[in-house]
Amino acid sequence: MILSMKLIGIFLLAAALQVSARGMAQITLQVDHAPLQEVFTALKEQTGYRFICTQAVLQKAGKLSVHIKDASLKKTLDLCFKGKGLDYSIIGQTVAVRLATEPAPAGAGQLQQAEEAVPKKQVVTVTGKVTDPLGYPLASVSVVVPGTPLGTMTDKSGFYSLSDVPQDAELVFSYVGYLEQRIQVKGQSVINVQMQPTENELNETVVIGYGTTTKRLNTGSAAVISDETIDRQPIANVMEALPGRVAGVLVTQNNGVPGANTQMEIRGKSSLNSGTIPLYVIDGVPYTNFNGAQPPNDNLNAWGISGANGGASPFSSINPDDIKSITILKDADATAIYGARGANGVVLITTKRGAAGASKTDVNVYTGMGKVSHYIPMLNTGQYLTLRKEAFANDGVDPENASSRPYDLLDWDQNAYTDWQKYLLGGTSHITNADIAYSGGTDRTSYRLSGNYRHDGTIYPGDFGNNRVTTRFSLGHHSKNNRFNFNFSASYAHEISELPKSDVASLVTLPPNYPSKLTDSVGNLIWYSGFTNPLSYLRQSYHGVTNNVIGNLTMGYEVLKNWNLKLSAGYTHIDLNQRSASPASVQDPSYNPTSTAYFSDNLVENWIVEPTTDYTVNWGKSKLNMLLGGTFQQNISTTTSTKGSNYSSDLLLGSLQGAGIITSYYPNDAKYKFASLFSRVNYNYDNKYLLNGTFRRDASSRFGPNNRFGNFWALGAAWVFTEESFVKEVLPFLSFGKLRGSYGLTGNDQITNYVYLPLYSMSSSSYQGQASYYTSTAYNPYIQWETDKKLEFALELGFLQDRLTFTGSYYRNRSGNQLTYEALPTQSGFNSRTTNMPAVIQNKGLELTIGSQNIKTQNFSWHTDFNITLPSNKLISFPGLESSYYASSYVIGESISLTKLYKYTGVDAGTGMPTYYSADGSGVPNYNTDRFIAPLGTPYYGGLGNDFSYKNWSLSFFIQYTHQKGYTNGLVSGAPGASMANVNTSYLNRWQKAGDQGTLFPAASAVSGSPISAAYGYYFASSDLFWGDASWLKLRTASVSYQFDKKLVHRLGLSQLRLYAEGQNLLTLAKNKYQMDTETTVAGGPSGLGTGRYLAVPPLRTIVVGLNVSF
Amino acid sequence: MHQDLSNKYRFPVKMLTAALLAAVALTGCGKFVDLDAPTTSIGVTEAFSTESAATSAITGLYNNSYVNYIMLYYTGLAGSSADDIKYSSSSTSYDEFAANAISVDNSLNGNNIWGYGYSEIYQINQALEGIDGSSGLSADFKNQIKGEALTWRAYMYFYLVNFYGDIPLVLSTDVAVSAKLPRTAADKVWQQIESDLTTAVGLLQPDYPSADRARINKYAAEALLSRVYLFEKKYSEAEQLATDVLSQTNTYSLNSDLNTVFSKDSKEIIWQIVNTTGISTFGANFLAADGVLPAYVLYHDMAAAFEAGDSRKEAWVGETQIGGTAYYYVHKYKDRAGTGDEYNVMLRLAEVYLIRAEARAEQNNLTGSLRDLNQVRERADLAPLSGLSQQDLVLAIQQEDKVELFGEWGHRWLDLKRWPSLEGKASRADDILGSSKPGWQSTDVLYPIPAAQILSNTSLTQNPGYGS
Repeated sequence: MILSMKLIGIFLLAAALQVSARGMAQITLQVDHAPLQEVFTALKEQTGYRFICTQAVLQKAGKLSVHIKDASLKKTLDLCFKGKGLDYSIIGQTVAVRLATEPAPAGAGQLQQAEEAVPKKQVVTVTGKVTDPLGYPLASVSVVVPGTPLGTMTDKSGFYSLSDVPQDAELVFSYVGYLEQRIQVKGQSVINVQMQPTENELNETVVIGYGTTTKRLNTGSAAVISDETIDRQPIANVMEALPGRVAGVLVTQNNGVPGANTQMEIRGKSSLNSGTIPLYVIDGVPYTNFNGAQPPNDNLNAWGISGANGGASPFSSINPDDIKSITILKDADATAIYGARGANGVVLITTKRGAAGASKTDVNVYTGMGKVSHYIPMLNTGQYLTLRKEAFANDGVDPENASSRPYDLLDWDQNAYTDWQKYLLGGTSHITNADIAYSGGTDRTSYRLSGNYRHDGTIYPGDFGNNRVTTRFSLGHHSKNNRFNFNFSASYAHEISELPKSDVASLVTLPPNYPSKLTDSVGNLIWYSGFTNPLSYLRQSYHGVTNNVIGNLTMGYEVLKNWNLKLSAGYTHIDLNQRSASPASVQDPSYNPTSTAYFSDNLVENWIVEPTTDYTVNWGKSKLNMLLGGTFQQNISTTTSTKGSNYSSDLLLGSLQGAGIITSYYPNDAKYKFASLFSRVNYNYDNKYLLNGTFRRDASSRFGPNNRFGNFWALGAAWVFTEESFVKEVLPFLSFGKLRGSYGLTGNDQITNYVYLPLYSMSSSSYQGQASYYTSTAYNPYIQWETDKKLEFALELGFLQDRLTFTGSYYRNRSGNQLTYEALPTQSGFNSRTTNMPAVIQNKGLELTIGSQNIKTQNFSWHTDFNITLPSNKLISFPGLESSYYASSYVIGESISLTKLYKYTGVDAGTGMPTYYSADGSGVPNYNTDRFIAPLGTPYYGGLGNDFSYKNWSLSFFIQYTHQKGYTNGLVSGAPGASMANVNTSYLNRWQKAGDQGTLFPAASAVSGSPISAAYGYYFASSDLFWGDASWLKLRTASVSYQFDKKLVHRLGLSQLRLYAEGQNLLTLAKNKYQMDTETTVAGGPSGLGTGRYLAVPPLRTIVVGLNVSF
Repeated sequence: MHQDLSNKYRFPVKMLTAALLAAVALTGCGKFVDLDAPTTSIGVTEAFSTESAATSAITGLYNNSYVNYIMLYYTGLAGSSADDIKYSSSSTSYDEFAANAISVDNSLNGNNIWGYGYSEIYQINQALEGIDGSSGLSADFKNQIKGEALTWRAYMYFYLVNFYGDIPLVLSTDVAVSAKLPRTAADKVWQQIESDLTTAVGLLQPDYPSADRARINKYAAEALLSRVYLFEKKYSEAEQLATDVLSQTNTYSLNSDLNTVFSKDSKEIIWQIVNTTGISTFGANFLAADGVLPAYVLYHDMAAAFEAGDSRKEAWVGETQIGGTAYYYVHKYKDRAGTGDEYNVMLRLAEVYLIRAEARAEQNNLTGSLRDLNQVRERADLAPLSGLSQQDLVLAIQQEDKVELFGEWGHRWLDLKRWPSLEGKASRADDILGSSKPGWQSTDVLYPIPAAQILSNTSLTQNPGYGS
C-alpha cells in the first residue's frame, strides 16, 4: 500500500519535534526492476516521508532499478525519476509525484491524472476548504481516496482540488495533531471540512525540568494534571485538586478551615527526620522553600502565629484558574536535574498564557456553599447520663463524694440537650468565586491578563472567612526571524483571613447537657471548672493578611541553528502579617488571665537566575540534544513575632501601644543560598530508542564549606517498541508501546538552617542588663545531603489508536545517609546533634494508571481514568539502631511509620474489666516486650474518574479510595464515663452487668484509681482494640455542565456559554464512622495527620453553581 | 558534505566555550553560597570580635538556664546523699539519692548532675576557644574574661570529680573528640582544676568586672583555689590563698546580721549569680507558703545539730507543722516569690574562714585556727572555743562546717567524703552515714556513671559498687 496511512504516528511526531529531515536523511537503496510502489515503501521506511501520486504516475514510472548509498532524499528522487517524465515536489513530510508534462499545482501538490487511468466510472472533481475549529485555514492537509493512489494536499489557504474522484468514494482528510475525517463524496463537488484536534495525549507537551518533552518521548516518570481537571473543582487551593489523581502521590488537606495548608508526599516517606516536602516550581521558579522549621513544613506561618486553620498554605494565595497544568516528577530521571532538592519529588506548576488568535474574554463565576458532610454519632443526654451514673456506680462512689464535682450529674439540667457538633460546626460556609481572563495574540505576541476574587466563609457561628483578590499578567513574544523570544509574567495576590484563633471542633465533646446558656445577662461568659466555654474560642480572633508577588522572565536566543541560549529569572515575595487577640474578658477567670495580643510578620523572598544553553545535533535518524545550565538562587525567610500583654483595655488589642509588657519571641532569620551547574544529554534514535542522562553539581548554604558540594545524576532509557516493524506486524492493535527505566541519585537538604555553623543564641533574659548568649544545639561541620537512589521501570501502552492507554511503573527508592539525630554522650555538652546516619529506608511500589476512551461518537463520549498505587515502606538497615535514640521507635524490616500496641484480650465477663496479653501471664503488659507492631500503612490507594458528554451536556465524577490500616474509632481515650466529655455511640456497646459477653467496651468507670479504672491503665488506649481496617472511599468531585448551542451563543455575541454545577467532597464511605473526616486519620501519611484521633473541621462538602462565558 | 562537517567541528568549540564559562561561574558558586550567621544568633567567632559581644558570651556562662539546675540539684541531691537536706516528696529518683542507692539509670544523676555539668563545661570551653582565637580584644579584657571562664571550668570540674571520681576531662568543643573520651584519673582532673585556677588568679583583677559581685574577680578564684587546695590536703597553699582573701577587709567581712547574710548587698558574698526578680533559685525552692511543705527539708539530724544558743538555728532553720509532723527547712534565703533582694550565692567568706581554720589546724597552728573558727562561732552568738587538742579542734571545725554551710552546694557531702575516718574506715562518711543510713556502703561516696552514657560512649567504665 503506497499511500499508507500507518505512518501518521511518525508523521505527527516528526512535526511535533519540528525535526526537519529534509536533505539530511541518509538513504541507501538497492532495487532492481521494482515497481515504483516498492521504491516508495523503502523510502518511506528510511525517511518517514509519505508519497502520493496518481495511477498514471505509477504506470508511467514502470519498473525501476536504483542503486544509491548514503544519499539525500532529493538526490535519490532525482535519480529515480531521471528520464521518466515525472516530476515531484516535497511539501512538509509528503512527496507528491506527478507527470512532468502537467503544470505544478499552485502552492500545493494537487495532482491530476491521465484520463486513461481512470476507471470507467462516474467521476467528479471535488474542491473545498479545510479549516481548524476556529475557522483558520489548514495548509498541507492530506486528502486521499483510500484504496486508490488519488491524493492531494491543501494549499496555504486551505483549499484543495481533487479530480476524477469516483462518486461513491470516500475522502480521508488527515493532518498532524488532528483527528482523521472520512467523508463520503456522494456526488458532492464541494466538501469543506473542519478538522478537530486529536486528544492523543501521547503527543501532549509534558513540562520537565528545564525543558519540555512529550509523553511519548519522555524517559522519566511525570504525571500531568491539566487545567481541565483543576477547573472542574470548586477549590480555593490548587493542591486540593490533586488527591487521588496521581498514582504514587498522597495529598491531604490539613482541615476544612479556609487557608489551611495541604501536604503532599510523593512515593512514600523517605526520611526519618528531615523534610518530605516536594520541591514546588512555578514557571521555572522555586516557589516555597522549606524554611528550617522543625518538624519540617512549608507553612507560611511556620515561625509565626496561627489561627483556627493551624497553618497558612503558600498556595492559598494562588488562583487555581491561572494554572494550566501541574506536572509531578517522580523518578530519578525526571528529578535528578533538581539535584539536592529532588529527593521528595518535584511539582512543576505551569501557568496559563495567551494563544495566537483573536482577543478573547473568559468569565467564570460560581457561588455555593459548604457544610460538614459527616457528624460523629454522639450519645444523647439520656445515654450520656446513664453512662456517667453507671461509671460511678461501678466504682462504688456516690457522685456527691467525687473528688471533683460532676456538674453533669449534680448541677446541670438532666433533660437539657445540645448537639454541640451542630451548634459549633453546623453552619454553612458561603463561597463566591469570580474569574475573568482576557487573552489573545498575534502569531508573534501573545498576552493574558486575569483577575480573581474569591470568598470562602466558615461553618463557625460568626462572621469569619477568607477573601482573596489576585491578578496575573503574562506576555510572550518572539522576533520575526524566530531567533529571539521572551515570556514574562507577573502576579499579585492579596488575601485576608479572619478566623477564630483556635478551632472549636475540639469542643464537640462537651457533655450534651452542658448549659447552652453560655453568657450571663450582661454578656459575660459563664465558666465551669475544667471546661472551655466555646464562645471563648470564637471570641479570640485571628487576622492574617498575605501579599504575594510572583514575577518571572524567560528569554531565549537562537545563536546559530540548533544552538540556543536561554536565561530565566524569577522573583517571589510573600509576606504574611498576622495578629491575634485574646481578651481577658473571654478567658477563664480562674487562671487570672490578662489580655494578650500576638503580632507576627513573616516574609519569604526568593529569587533565582538560571542561564542555560542547549544544542541539538541531528544526523540520520539520530538526534542529540545537550543542555548545560546554572542556577543561582537565594531564599530569605524571616519572622518577627511580638507579644503584647497586660493590656489596660481589650479595645487596644489591635496594636502594641496599649500593652503593658512587650516581649519578642521565636524570631527567625534564615537565608538559604543555592548554586549549581547542571547538564542533560538526550539522545533520540528514530523516536525509537531514547537515552537521557543528567548530571548536576549543587552547592547549598545549608551545609558547611567542606560538604557544600554534591553531585547528582541519573540515567534514563526508553524503547518505543511499537516503532519496530515486527511489533507493528505482530501486534497491530497496539498503537503505542514503550518500555522505560531509570536509575539515579538525588538529594534532600531539608534540615534546620545553619546546622554546620557554631552559633550562639540569645538568652531570653539579660544578665545585669547585658544580653547573654548560650549554645542551644550542637553544630556539625560535617553535615551533608541525605541521598536518595531511585530506580524505576515502566511500561506504557496504547491500544486501538491510543483509545486505551496503560502505564505501569515499578519504583524502588532507597534513601540513605539519613539526616537525623544521633544520640551523643552528654560529656560532649549535648545529648544529640543533627548528623548523617547510614540508615537506609526503602520505598517501593507499583503504580498503575489506565485511561480509556470507552465511547466516542459525535454525540456521546465516555472517558474513564483509573489509577492505583501499591506502596510499601521499609527500614532496610540502621547500623547502631539498638544504641540510638530510635531503639524503641523503629524495627529493621518494618515501615518507619511504626506503631506498637498492646494486645487487647477482651472483657472479663464477670468484672467488666479489660484484659491484655502479657508474656509473663500477669495480665499487666510490659512496655518493652508486650507491645506488637500494628499492621500499618496503605496497602493500596488510588482514584477513578469518569467523564461523560452527551451533546451539550457533560458530566464527570471522581472517586478517591484508600485502603489503610489505622484507628477505627476516633475519640476513644480511656474508660467509658471517665470524664465529663461526651463520647460516640460505639460506647453504648459496653459491659453493664456480670455475664455480659462480647461487648465492645469494658465496664464504665468514673473514678481514677478505682480497680476498674486501674485495669484500663494506659494500656487500653494503646491497645489494638481500635486498630484495624480504616479504609475509606470518597466521591471527591462531581460536576455537570451544559454548553449552549453555538448558534444561540453567537446570536448573543458570545463565543461560549456554559452553565454548571460542581461539588467537592460529596460523599464519604469510611470504616471509621466515628471521625468527621477520615483523611485526618492517614496513618503513615504526611506527618501531622497520623494520629487518627484528630478533631478538626473536616474538608467541607461543597456545592456550587456557576456560569462560564467567553466572548 | 564538507560544509556539514565543518559545522560539526564548530559545535564542540562552542560547547567547550560554554562549559568553560559555566566552570568559571561554578567556581563562584562556593562563594555565592557563603552565608553570615542569621541576625537571631551570632557566630562564635563573631562573638569574640568585640568586647560587648564577648561580654555577652561570658555572661551566658552565668545566665545559662543550666546553671539554675546545677545550683538546685548539686545542692539538693548532694545534700540528700549526706545528712543535710532532702527532697520532701516521695519520688524514686530523689529517694535513691537519700538512700545512697542510686540506680545506674537514675534520671537526675544522668541529666541534672552529669548532663548539665558537661553542658556548662561545653559553653566554658567554647568561650575559652573563642577568647584564644580572638584578635580584636584588648589584653586586659581578654585576661578578665579568660580568668572568669577558667574559674568556671574549675568550679564545674570540682563538683564532677567529687561526685564521680575519674571523669572524662573535656577541654575542647570538638564533639567528635569529646564524645569518645574515656575517664581521666581523678588526680589528673584535680591537677587541671588547680592549673585552671592558678592561671585564673594570675589573669583576674581584684575589682569585679560588674556590679553586685555578680561575676568572678581575683578573690573568687582565690577562694575557690583555697578550697581546692584544702581538698587536696595542700594546707599551706590553702591557708595562703585564704589569707589573701580574708585580708581584703575593705571588701569582704562577715555579715553580723544572720538574716541578711544572703542579701544581695551582703559584704560576706564573694561571688553570686544575679537574677532579674531578686528571688533566688534557693529561696524559691527551699521556702514554701504557710502550711505547705517546702520542696526540700532538713534531715532531722541536721536540724538537731545546733548547739544551744546558736542563733543560726533561729535565723537559718525554718520549721513548719504539716499534719502534726514538724519539718525543718533551710531558711538562709528569706525571699520566696514576687520580688526580693537576694541572688544565688556561689562563694562566701564564712567558708574561707573555715578553710583557713582547717588548714591551720592540720598544720598544727591551733591558735590561728581557733581564731578563724571563733570568727564564725561568734557571729552565731556562740562562745569562742579555746584550749582544744588538734584532733578536737579538727572535729570542732567539722561541726562548724556542718552548721554553717548546711543547705549550701552540697558542702556536707563533699566534706564527709574527704574527711578521714575516726574509726579506721575509708572516710568520715562511713563513720557518720554508715550509722545513720541503712544500707550504706563505702562505695556510695561516688555516684554511678549514668548507664546511658556508658552505652553511648563505650570507653566509659562504671564506678565500683554499681554493677556493670
